[in-house]
Amino acid sequence: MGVVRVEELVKRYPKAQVNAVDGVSFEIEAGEVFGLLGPNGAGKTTTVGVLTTRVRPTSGRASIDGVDVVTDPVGVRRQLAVVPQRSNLDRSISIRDNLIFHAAYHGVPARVREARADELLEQFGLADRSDARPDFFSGGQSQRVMIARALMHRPKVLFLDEPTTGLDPAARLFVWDRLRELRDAGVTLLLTTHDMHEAAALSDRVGIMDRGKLLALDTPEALMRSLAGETTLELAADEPADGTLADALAALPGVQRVERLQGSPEDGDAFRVRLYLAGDAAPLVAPAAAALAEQGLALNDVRFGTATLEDVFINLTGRSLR
Amino acid sequence: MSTHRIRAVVRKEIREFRRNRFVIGTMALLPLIFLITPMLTIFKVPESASGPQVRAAVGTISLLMLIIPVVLPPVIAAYSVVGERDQGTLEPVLTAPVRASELLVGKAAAAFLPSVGLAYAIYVIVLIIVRLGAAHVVVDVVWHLPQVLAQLLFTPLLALWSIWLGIGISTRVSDVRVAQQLATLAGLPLLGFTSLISFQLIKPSVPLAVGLALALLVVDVVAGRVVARLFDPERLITGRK
Repeated sequence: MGVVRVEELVKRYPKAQVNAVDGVSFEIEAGEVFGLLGPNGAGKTTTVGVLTTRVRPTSGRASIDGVDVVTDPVGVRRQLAVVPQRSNLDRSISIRDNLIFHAAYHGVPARVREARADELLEQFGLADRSDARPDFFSGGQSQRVMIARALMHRPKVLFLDEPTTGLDPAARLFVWDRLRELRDAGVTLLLTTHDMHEAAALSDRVGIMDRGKLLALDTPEALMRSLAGETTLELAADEPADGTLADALAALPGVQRVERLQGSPEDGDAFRVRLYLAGDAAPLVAPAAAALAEQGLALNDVRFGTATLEDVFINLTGRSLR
Repeated sequence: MSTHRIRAVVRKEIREFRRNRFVIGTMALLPLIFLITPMLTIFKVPESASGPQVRAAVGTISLLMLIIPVVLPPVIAAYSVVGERDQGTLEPVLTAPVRASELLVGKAAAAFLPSVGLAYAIYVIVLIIVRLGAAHVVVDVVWHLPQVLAQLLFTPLLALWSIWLGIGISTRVSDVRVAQQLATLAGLPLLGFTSLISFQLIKPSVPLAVGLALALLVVDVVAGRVVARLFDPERLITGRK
């Protein structure tokens, strides 16, 4: 049985016309890293809100390590920790005290929490600043403090919201390494993120939500394989006179899907399109160039690629802004 | 309820006050300034003063003594929820295994201790100064046992009432300033009650003081329960009403 279980979860906020979460079900195994992706307003935060007992479900069930979030919210909160995107450290006390008070709330004995705070501050490279208040900490330092704080009571499940957004590359890699160590230590991680690269790099499985529903759930590799076209061919040209070019490209052998991208008129490629292909992309360059030439257009740019998690995400949720 | 978790909440709040001493410092300063003029008046009361003259002078002081526990706590109590929400520091507590009742009791205790401590300290100072320098007719009224008992009993109970008002308002508004203003205003009706005693329109006696204190205690318990019902973590986190 999964350490995190969500069954037919529904949440409708008061006065709302639609469900923020609409019949979502999934399980996360112990020690798994689970990425929950989705555009703004998809229902990720509400789902995590229910799992962390901050939001009451309208119907359905959710549990952490077998403990129901509605019937025993305090029991659930003993098992979990939350690392938010933005710092919610208490700026009126030192970072060490932030850790110690968090542990006190969780009932960790005084002597243990003191030792554990020192150990974690050392582990996260913050020992020399333990008495500093977090007022002037950088985003990366605050993130490290918040992860250290979250680990003070040794949670079974750690919820992370955009754990590396806004961090420099070194800080991001540091956080990723710590998260992998936690996974290796058996901690279950649930990340909500917009960073597809991060989700693909860290997650064992990924769930993609939109409009309150879970649209896809699998390993990043399987999701990418599931997309029509494993390889991509991106072409750029001047703007064609009519809309028949896209149809002509879609009719080329091996093309499974055509996606119109935003071109850059300044660079002379007002028309930019990505072809998703079943096989190798190179043999298709000449037929594609010929299709452009038939409409009097020159091929300005060619890029080869493979489908990414972002392609899966866009394919499922669309490109429109919410 | 876990006393460990309540103590943790109280300790953290007190740690914040210690770090930011202006909070308590300015709380103490205002009542002390307001006391200057009535204290000067009380020392001008002659030994030959009539009963009404003495009651009027002492009544002002007594009123201030009972106002102090009403006006001090809103500064802290009104901040306690909405202020933490603004700072983002409420969320970590709400994801810790701290029950809403434990959090509220902890926050109330953290506002109660400095407020009542200050109110008692100021009262003791006034008692001593009056004893040392005022006319005997004044000393007799100020040191009258039922009057002292009423002050000692009512101070914590009025403070607790004011604290629950402050916390209750703090759970429902979205701005710290609004919370503090409303909490102070909401405490004003208590002035009517305190005035009746201060100016001895209700003649203080030991049974009356104890009876009123018990009534206030009941009101405080009910207020605490009402505030617990008003506290809605989902609304505080999501901002949805």
